[in-house]
Amino acid sequence: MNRHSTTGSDGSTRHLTEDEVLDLLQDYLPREERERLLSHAADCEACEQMLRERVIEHERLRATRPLPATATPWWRCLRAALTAPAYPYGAAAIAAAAVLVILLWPRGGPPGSEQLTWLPVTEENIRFRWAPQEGIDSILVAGLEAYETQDLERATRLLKDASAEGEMELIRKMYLGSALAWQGRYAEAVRILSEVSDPALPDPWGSEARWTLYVALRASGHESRADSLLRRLAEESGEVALRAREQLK
Amino acid sequence: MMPHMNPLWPTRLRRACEQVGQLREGAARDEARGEVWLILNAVISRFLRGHARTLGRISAQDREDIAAQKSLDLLRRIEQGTWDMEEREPAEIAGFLSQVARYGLLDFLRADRRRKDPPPPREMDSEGMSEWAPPDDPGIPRAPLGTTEPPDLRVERREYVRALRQCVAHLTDRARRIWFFRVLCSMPSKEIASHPDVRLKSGHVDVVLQRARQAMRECMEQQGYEPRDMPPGTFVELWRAYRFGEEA
Repeated sequence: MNRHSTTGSDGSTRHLTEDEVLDLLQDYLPREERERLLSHAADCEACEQMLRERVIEHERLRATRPLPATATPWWRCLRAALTAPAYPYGAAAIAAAAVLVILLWPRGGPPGSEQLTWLPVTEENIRFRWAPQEGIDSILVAGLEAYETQDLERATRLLKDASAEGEMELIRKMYLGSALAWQGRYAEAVRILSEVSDPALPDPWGSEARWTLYVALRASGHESRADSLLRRLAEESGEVALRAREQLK
Repeated sequence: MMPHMNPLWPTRLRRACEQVGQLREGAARDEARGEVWLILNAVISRFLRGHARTLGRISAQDREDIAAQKSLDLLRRIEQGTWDMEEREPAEIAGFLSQVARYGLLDFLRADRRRKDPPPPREMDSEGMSEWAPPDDPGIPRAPLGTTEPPDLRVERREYVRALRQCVAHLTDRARRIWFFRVLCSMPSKEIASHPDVRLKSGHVDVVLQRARQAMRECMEQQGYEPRDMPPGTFVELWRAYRFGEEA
């Protein structure tokens, strides 16, 4: 028997377990216990190999996958902004927007879509396959994910089917309207986005949703409404206002 | 000597999760988040390895991806207060994470069109710690060791390791870490450069490593050792020194 072999609960000799290696890696063990396990591993090639593999995994994880600064999904940032008191469009919204990017990639789309922009999504390509979010319809989450990946048909289908209340209903309509517009379904987009075009919505979502509504109005032949909205957008501040002013020149 | 019976990580994970939920933003909370992140990744990865034996093989990269995603999902739920481990037994925690890994793997395999029919879920035995690992995750067989290292080889190995440790001690802290990550963990320069204990440009890592290797070679030669494969046990002894700063 190996001098340093560990002893099982039944008195038999055994090698290191995965649990023991994990406790070793995290330095959870009392010194005496740690010494006993390490002494065994030093004399046991199989255990040393397992320890080495786990150490490598551990250090590679620390090197290549640092813990994200925030673990909050992008649409939760929006939800938080919408639920804060007095339409929180100050610091909270700005802070949330700071971690977001507005994806402005032009691409082949339906006629009239040249001016469309994507509503903000995070840079992180995160899926939410497993964890159903408490109180939030999983279909809605899947629809938002589909929008994030620009799977527009799927996003439209899911966002239409999803049920939501309160601020999540606003979110659902904003992204549904955008997805419809990107598919050239401007009339439907106008109808949906008209319900969420409140100027008090936090930016950048609110202004981008109103810009999408403007594009949809123009493309669907509602010229006077489009002009009116464009002038209002030009009076605001921020990226969308600059875009609107440029359009008015 | 009392044998090590119950794993400690579930209890520590539970405590760290409680801290994440209770503490305000700050260093202590960040530290707790980091601990939760590392444990979740390690545990889910471990269960993925086990489940993959029966459900379907995956690459190490895919396993890391699944573990990271599931860990992030769980961390979110912890931060949002939609999942907590208060009053959960350690075996429950392990069983739950095993199931998280299992479903994560099934999702992946389904998407990859390589899914096999999974075995029915197995009831967890909260009494016996031997049931913590899924049935297909035996790890290293718990059989008696069949061989014993001859005493002369053990002495030789100990002498070699002692010389190696003396030489490593002459390196700077940063050079020692870089040498350890490359020589003993086989990590590429890019990963070493981004490691939180190093934080250098990749090119700089290569320079430090080259000098460290040269210094180690000269030091070992002065002690009468030729370059050769490290004998068994070397990794454990050097990792012990690296991780805990102590000698056998």
